[in-house]
Amino acid sequence: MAHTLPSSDQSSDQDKWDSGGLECKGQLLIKIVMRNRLTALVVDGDTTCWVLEQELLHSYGVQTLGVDNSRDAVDLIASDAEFNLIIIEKILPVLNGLAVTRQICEIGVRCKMLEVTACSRESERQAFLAIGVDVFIERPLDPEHLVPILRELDGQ
Amino acid sequence: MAASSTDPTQQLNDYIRTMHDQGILDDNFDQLLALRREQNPRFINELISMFTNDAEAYIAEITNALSLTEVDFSTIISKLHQLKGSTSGIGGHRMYQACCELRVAADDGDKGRCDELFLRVKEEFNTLKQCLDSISQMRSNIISNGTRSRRRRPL
Repeated sequence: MAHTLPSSDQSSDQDKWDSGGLECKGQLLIKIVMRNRLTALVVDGDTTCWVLEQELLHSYGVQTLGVDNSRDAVDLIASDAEFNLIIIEKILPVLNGLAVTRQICEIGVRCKMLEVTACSRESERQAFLAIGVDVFIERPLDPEHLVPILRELDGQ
Repeated sequence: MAASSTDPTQQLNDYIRTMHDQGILDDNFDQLLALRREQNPRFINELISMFTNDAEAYIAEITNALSLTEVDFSTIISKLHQLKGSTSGIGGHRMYQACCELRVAADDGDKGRCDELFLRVKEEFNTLKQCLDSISQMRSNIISNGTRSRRRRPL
């Protein structure tokens, strides 16, 4: 797995910032080269989390769509929209994450499903895995968990 | 030889490091800084603003749920879950821990402990908010200094 730090540029404070002049602990954005353009659906009722997840996916060239409630998520899937990856939060407006995940699996969707949530019990984790979620991740979604999944979807 | 203390980026680095040392911010904050947005240098500031607005709304809803004659623990738990989620995304370490403790009290249906722990959540939020506001301000100064220098035209 190739790890690179962003390169440094000395021209201005903003350039220094944007080019990674800021000290970061360790190597935070694992760089990979994607062969295919992947698509992802992010289902999360919280704006901050939703924006962060989409930004992280964008930074890996993944085209993403975001919805903030279960009903829109199910409607989208039922209308044959196709995604390589679906990321769902456990607690959502309208239906909870477990119920909407079950509905999506019943529609017959065959793509990678990721459950991302803050602080869960083992029983909840098992419940999601039992209905077809592929991976269960504690918040926040990070490159360490996301990159292997993207590589697998990209056929690397 | 230490870098000049008037260098704005260095000042910001030092400030963030201090916030790490005090446990106010954690590595998740560094991760969101690593999401560079060349097209939108204000991304970090916008995200901070989004987080603050959402957190204030969640806190208001929890306050309301706790104030009811029959405390609505299920609303507290679901709003707290969302608050924890966005706090972990922004890297608010101490606030996140305070939320986790409150969650336990809410699961137990213990109003007294909830009141006490919720006070701590609000205190940590105020601390975090001040910290993020300072970072936003320093970041804005860096951006506007950068814009000013690019606008400079020869006479």
